[in-house]
Amino acid sequence: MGADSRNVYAADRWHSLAGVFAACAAICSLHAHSAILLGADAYHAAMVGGGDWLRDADLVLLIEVVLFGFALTHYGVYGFASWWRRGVALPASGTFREWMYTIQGWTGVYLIAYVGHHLVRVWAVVHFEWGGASSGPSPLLDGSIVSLAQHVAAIASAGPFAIGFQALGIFALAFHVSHGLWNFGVNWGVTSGPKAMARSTVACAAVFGVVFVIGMETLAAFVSLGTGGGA
Amino acid sequence: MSTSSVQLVVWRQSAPDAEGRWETFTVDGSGAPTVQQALESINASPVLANGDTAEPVTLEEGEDFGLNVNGRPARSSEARLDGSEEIVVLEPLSVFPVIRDLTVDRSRFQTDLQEAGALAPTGFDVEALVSDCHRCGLCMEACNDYRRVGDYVGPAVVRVLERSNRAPGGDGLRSERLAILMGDRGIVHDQNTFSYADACPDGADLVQSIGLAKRSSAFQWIQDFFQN
Repeated sequence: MGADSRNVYAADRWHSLAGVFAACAAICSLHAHSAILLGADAYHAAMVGGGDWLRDADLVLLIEVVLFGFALTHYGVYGFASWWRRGVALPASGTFREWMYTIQGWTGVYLIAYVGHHLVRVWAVVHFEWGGASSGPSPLLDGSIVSLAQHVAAIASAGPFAIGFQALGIFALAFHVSHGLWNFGVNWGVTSGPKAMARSTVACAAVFGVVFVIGMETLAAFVSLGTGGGA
Repeated sequence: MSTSSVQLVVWRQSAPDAEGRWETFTVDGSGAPTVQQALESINASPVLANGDTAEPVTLEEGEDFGLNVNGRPARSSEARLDGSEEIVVLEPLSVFPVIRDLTVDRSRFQTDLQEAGALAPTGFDVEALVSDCHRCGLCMEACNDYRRVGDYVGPAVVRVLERSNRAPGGDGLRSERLAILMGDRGIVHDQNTFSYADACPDGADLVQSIGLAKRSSAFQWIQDFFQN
């Protein structure tokens, strides 16, 4: 009865673990960006100031290669492949869980585009656009002097499309992380019965709410700063 | 809604490869007969709603088989023409190949179930482990992953394996059972939609079974990773 191989099962476990890695990276990133809620200086300190450990070139390279290059890529590529192989999901029965499964797939696809775009943009900002890793306002390539917060705010509030792209990304992230947490509980046998799964649903919905609200407040703060409303 | 006659729209297919078609019969809905009773009354003198004579509708042996009634999986002896619908559509289960009319070939399911049953602990057989399972296939019909992935063994088979693991003496062939659960046709294909949660007419708690199967598989995987 197909007892010959555990390859698919093992690949799925690694995908699940890579998902935990990806979720942690995403939450850390959102947490750092949310410092904008405390003002442009706090944001600057969270991103490049303070202990300076994030600016250690070797560590940055390690993070880029191991975290982004390997875990996120594996998570995205394997996730997309297995989603595609099962057939692009349209809600068939329309039950709550079937909707969750469907949205999990589509938010995953959107996150590949969103996170991919985000990482390329961050990489460009860090290495090229914003004048490197100095700790004060810095000259852009065109010679104008802006803070990192202002620079990021200008990107985030560049127009309705940019704002919508970010807002949808925050929704997708909050959903994919929180429902992924629910799936993790079932797939690793933490929640194995209907009642445990129902309790887990409530807890994960709370996670969704917290991540989504913080994400949207962060986006609103950047849009406000970018459109001249101040941070 | 006071009318007691019901239009029964039935899927007709003369052979597995033949093209199918719909035929409409009119049956007396008074007394809320079961679908089984309605089909048997049609077969007593098969006449279409338009008056033409028809072939009897091929039913599965026994008085209880799974089919789709107005798109919902049900058992023929339990679904009733209770007057809430004037038109009732009867289709064969869609996850199994059609043999003829409303009969389907569930041999794959039955073979898998037998193989799983062969791994039952000493002193048990598959009947003792899942005496409440009538092999109707409704949980398979309701399972989106059984439909999506042609290879998946499906919830009823997972339940047999999981029951065996927890039965007294279940440790004996545990690794063989887990090899199926963690194999290419195993629960990796279950995407946690639990679309079959309420599908079992006998009330089998399939969610709990699949949940526990996932737990024992995950523990086994972790154990193997650090031990082998």
